[in-house]
Amino acid sequence: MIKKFFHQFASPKSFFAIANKFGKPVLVFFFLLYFGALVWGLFFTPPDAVQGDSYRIIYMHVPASFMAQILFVVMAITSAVFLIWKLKLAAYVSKSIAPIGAIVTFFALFSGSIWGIPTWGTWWQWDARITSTLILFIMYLGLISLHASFENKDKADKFFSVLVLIGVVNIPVIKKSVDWWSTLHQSASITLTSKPTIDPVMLYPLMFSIVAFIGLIFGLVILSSQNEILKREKYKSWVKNI
Amino acid sequence: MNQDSLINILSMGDHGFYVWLVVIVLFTILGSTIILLNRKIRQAKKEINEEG
Repeated sequence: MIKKFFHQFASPKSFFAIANKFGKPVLVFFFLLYFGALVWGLFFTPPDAVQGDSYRIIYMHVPASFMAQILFVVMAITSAVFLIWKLKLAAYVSKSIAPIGAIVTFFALFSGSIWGIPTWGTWWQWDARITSTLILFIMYLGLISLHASFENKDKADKFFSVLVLIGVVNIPVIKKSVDWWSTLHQSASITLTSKPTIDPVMLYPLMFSIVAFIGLIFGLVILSSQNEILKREKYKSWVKNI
Repeated sequence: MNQDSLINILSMGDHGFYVWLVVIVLFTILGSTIILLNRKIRQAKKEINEEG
């Protein structure tokens, strides 16, 4: 029954129709929302007592670092759905997430490096959090290369999905790296189990920017998925009628 | 708000350069990704229409 539901409502044709209608409005809405969150964080919050104004990079670095990991988890879920139920759309979405994930991870590393210059006095340190995030970036690039190297895209989808499921073990390592090892990178200021260690004046725009950035990046994933569907389904009859 | 306080807010003290650098890179990446994806989708649709 689940299989029937998925095949009926999660076909590339149905997904494309919905994405074509709502993809761009979603992207524009969250882009403006994130822009608003950034203006709030950059210009309407006080400077940090220790870091001064450089802490404002938090409104870009934290949402990007969070999304870099979330995208890999989503990719693992869609890959598992593809391997279990052989749902083509799941493979297309998985493949579409990889370049967006690589871009977001690159930006997380870049913004962290820039933040490190005034804060730590160095732009790079081989500590556990930074190194495991670099590994995540390399994994995204590896997955993109792997998929591109196959002529047979069905085979590529299978190898890609299996590798994503193996690579997802890096996510808890990134998350826990600041607790398991002694790192230059600080531990999390916001957790689900304890009170945030960040002042509400800075916390609210941060939460707002994280939510808006999640929406913005999923908007990009929708756009990327549309592109992948068009590439992969171009000989199907329904595509001729769009 | 006078001009001096506006300049103070925008310059963000000694570390304003780092913050602005990250802002510029972020919006360059986001903007170019959106433009590139839109162009690819438009091109794919055009090719499909021409073949069809």
